[in-house]
Amino acid sequence: MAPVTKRKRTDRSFYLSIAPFFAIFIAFSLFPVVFSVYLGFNDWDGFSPPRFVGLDNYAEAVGDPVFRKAIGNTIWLWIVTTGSTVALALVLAVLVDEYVLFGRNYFRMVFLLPLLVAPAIAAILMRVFFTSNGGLVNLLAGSVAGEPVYFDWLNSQFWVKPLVALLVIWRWTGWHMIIFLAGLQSIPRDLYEAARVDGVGRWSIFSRITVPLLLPALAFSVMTSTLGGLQMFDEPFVLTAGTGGTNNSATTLGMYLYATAFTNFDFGLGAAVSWYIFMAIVAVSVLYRLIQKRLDMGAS
Amino acid sequence: MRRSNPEKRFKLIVTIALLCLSVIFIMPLYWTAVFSTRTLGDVFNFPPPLWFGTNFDENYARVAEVFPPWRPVMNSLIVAVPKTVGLVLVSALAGYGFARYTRAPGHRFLLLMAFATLFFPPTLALIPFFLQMSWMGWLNTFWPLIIPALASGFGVIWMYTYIGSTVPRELYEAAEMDGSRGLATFFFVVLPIIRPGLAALGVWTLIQTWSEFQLPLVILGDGSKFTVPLALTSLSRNYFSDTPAVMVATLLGLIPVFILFALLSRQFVAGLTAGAVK
Amino acid sequence: MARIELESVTKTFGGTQVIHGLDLAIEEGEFCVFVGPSGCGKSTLLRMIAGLEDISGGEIRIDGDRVNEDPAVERQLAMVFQSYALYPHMSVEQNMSFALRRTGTPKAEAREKVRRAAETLQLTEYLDRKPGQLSGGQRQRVAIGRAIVREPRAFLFDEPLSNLDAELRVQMRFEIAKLHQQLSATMIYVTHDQVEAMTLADKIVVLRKGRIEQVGPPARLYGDPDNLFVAGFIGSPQMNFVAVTAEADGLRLPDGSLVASPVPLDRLASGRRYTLGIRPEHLSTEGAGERLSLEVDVSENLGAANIIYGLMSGGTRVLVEDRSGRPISSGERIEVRYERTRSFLFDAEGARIRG
Ligand SMILES: Nc1ncnc2c1ncn2[C@@H]1O[C@H](COP(=O)(O)OP(=O)(O)OP(=O)(O)O)[C@@H](O)[C@H]1O
Ligand SMILES: [Mg+2]
Repeated sequence: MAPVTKRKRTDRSFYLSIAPFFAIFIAFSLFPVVFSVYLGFNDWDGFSPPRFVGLDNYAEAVGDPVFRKAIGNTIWLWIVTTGSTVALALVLAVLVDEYVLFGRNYFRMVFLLPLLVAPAIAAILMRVFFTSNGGLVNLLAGSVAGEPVYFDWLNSQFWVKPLVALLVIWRWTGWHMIIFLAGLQSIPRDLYEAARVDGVGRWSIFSRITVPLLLPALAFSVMTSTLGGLQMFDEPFVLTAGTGGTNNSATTLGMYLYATAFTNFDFGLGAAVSWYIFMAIVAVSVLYRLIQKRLDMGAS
Repeated sequence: MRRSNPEKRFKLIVTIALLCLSVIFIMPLYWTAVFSTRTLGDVFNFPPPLWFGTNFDENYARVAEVFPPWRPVMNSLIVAVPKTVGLVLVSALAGYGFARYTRAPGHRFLLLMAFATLFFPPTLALIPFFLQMSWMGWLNTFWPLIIPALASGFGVIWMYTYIGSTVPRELYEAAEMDGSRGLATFFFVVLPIIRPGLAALGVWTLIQTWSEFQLPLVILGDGSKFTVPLALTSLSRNYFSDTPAVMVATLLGLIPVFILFALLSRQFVAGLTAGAVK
Repeated sequence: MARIELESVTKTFGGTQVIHGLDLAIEEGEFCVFVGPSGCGKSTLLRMIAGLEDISGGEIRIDGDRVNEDPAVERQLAMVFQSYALYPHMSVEQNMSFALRRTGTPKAEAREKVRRAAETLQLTEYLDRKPGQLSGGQRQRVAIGRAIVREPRAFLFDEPLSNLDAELRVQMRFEIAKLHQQLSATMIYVTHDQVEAMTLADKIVVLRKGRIEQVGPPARLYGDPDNLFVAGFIGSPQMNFVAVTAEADGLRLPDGSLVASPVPLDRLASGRRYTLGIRPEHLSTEGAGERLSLEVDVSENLGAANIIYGLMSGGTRVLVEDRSGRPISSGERIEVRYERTRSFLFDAEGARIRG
């Protein structure tokens, strides 16, 4: 046998160790993505032969008022859920880290519990509690009003999006709180003590010390929440029983994509929509990178 | 009455406020459990029942008439367990390769590729993946939910960082001197050392899989194959007005993840924060 | 036990050459120490011998056989790492028997070998512990035990003591010396601590920037260095170097005075500049010989010796390890003496000029 250098042996071990990951990735992720480029330029229902249509699918989507409404809904949900989840989690994290007298471990865990509940299941629970006839919320409202209330929350054009947002906030706040708690742990204690000795108030400590030092964790949180927000599907789908709510008031891009592909079997249009979603994610990612770079420069 | 220290009082107020908020957070879960033990009449009463009733068995029987309530749990387990074990192993192996063989040609590029997969939105692949599965004859089977998911960019990057920070280089060299080849070193030296990391990634994957909805919805057509979220969604759609029965089924679907969380919550939290550090 | 030979060995890391054609023979049973400043290539050389690093050029032979392409394990060498590199999840016993089990030694035999090694190293009562439950010295002993158990053809040590505190380091140094006597095994030992090198070595290899400066037994490197670098590197405190000019009747010092040359003057070019080297321990405030006059900057009394930081007029610093017991105070002007034959002379390139 020809002599084999150590270098060759270790290189072989390297490629072997990463091969399973890349093989599966290429077969089941990269291939579909490449294929969806093709799909986006074709009109195809899955049965008859595909027909090349150029950019028609992309134009068709833009021309569809439901698609435009879905963009608006998605942006609304993305901003509201990201903003309120991150803000609430930040406040909770600081309070738990700094101002809680007892039960710190309890607080660390309890807000995480909703995350264990699948979005679909959480939506089912919400349907039960918010149903118009005898739902818990209407019963509560009724007892306040003194007469029975039959308000149809889930079919209200106004309320359905806030309800979706509420679901997301309920599930994800604990997760973001844990991220922030880890970030807070890495802030040196003496910084706070020094500030307190100097007589700096609570609010100033929070806004001048805690938040700036927590920026990397905040950026990570916002990014994660954005990736989820722009692809949101499970919560609005189950909450509106797949309908998107009255007058599509809770149809997201993810739901629009699902409906075009799996209800109307317009795979080309669906693929085009998925590329729009992808472009939005890339745009936000680039923005995130830029902000991160600014932060790094500010830090050094 | 003596005036208490204002700092202390502030903290007391904060603690009580947080306590109330935490009760609001777990109330839906608590009510799920309570409603599952109540009669239909109880549930629509005001004030709502705050304590457990005795009607669980009867509610359970009504669910069992419609479908075997443990079947979706079994289906979810059949998907989640092999997927978790496989994903953790594939990720740990690739993470080990990236952490150990830093001098191999293409290392930087391939690592970057693995990192780039993090930004692949699953949505992008959904439609073509569905078509691919239909050509492969895998629709309405569990394979599409298990095999493709084994390649997780998140898992690989996570394991790469974890192994890089827990296994010192000299340990690989000691093992090499001791006559341990690449794969043997992975199994006998690296895996035992990174057990906490494996557990963390495992719990996270299991919980994620348990929640998965869109992909199973697209892939699984046959009700007998439904995983927990799918089965519950269809149950709640068809028997929506029978709240206690829906709650029984929901409770059964939640129990496995809650048991898992109770056992491994520390690893779970460790996994969350380790993912954020990169 | 093995004889290890290196023939024009080179190493290149992505275009930068770090070992430049090295020739060296390590005899059977020899304790060979590589010393040199940080980054000179000691570890790289050791790792090439071990098989952890490819050999870019030249040949390494063990007992006459070329091993360049052999995987580490086939070379049958054992290595002790600076960080011990113990498997944290295995007990001491498992750590020590891992290599045996990997290479297919029967369980009972492995157990017996581990038991014997543990006895030698006084580790018997710790066999069931994990490395995390041991002190630094004990961990180092386990690492050595792991090497012994394999009955290797040679032992390789890469700065094995530098993670230990000063006291333990001395103790472990003795243990390693004892071990070498007991096993009479070939050992290669990397350190940048020249005291370790002097006390342990049969043969010292002084490296600089990937080249050998000098090879020889400790006494020779101390008493008869080949060049300025070795003279400065071996010995503590460091040798004093004084710039001198050769003249017809001796060496002219920077302060204008004249001293006798350690080598016949006809070997020197008159008017040329040289470097005179004198070890601090060879300078004394009493006795006879050549004379230097100094102004005392600082003087530290260590009891047995007085360390005097002197300044020659002209600015050259001279360190004196004076054992006369005479009290010295700063600012004082003193005269120190040394014997001409104990000084060294180097040319402008740093090469030693011998008599
Ligand atoms: N993997 C590598 N890639 C590139 N250069 C390297 C690598 N390993 C070592 N070097 C370079 O080779 C030279 C010799 O390194 P080596 O580790 O052998 O030094 P050393 O004598 O052991 O130093 P120290 O006393 O600090 O341990 C150094 O200049 C180092 O930067
Ligand atoms: Mg070194």
